[in-house]
Amino acid sequence: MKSIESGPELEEIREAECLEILGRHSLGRIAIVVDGQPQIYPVNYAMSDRIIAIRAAPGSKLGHAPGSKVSFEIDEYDSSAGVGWSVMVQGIAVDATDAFDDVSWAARAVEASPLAPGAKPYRIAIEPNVITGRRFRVRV
Amino acid sequence: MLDPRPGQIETMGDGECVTALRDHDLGRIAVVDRGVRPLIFPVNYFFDEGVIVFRTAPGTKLDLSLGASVGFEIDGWDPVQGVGWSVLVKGIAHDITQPRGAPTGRMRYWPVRPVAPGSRQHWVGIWANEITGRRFRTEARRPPLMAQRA
Repeated sequence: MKSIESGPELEEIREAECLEILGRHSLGRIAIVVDGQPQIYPVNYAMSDRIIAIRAAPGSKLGHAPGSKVSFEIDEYDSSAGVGWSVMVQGIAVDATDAFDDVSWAARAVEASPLAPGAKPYRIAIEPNVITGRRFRVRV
Repeated sequence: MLDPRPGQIETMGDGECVTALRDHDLGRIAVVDRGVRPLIFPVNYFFDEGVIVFRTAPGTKLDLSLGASVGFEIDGWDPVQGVGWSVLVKGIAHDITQPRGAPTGRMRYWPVRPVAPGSRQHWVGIWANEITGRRFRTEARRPPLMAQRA
């Protein structure tokens, strides 16, 4: 996909490297659509191969995510190095709490550790369809 | 200000949410594509008067945000204090590249500074309908390294 925004200092990150970056972090944001309104929530996550595993509290908005299209994103900007990047995963959310499909099994093989307090008994897995990343460098 | 009790999630007041939006300049916007799929993009922004302004180049972000309901989010995590917070905004995005009146004309002079390279000639304002914030302190402060080893 050619992006109009692409320039010499703005590069695309290939999928394999996106997955490596995802594996090195544990805090991201998930976007869901509720009644046409997109909403973003920060979440702690863990990777199980290509599957993103997160936990949700009963009655939370994320509890309604399974079955719907979601996006997941991580980003970082190092102002001293002048390097910024972001990785976005588009996929389908699956209720992995006790289902027996492969994605749910994979999600249950890892433990996301939520920093926020409160019981989060539900497991949600994001099965990626599209993984994209971009990185830029600026002079500092 | 940010001092919730351990193990508690607290609601941030309107004033605190506004202060947090003013004190930061990097957030994420969520838009919805034609297939009802949400997409997330990091953006540098400036906030005032209930409006989040960012700049962008022609593309998906611009196409899907104009005239649409969008989400916006900023967050922070202090591992030393064990305190995390997030502010979530719901609003409608409008093109303010060609200002039509005094408020949008003024916004075109706001210090919106994209860090990423590239020309970002389109100015977009998100008029907030709802701003909510939450913060928490983790239940267990991490023990000092020595104690872990003991």
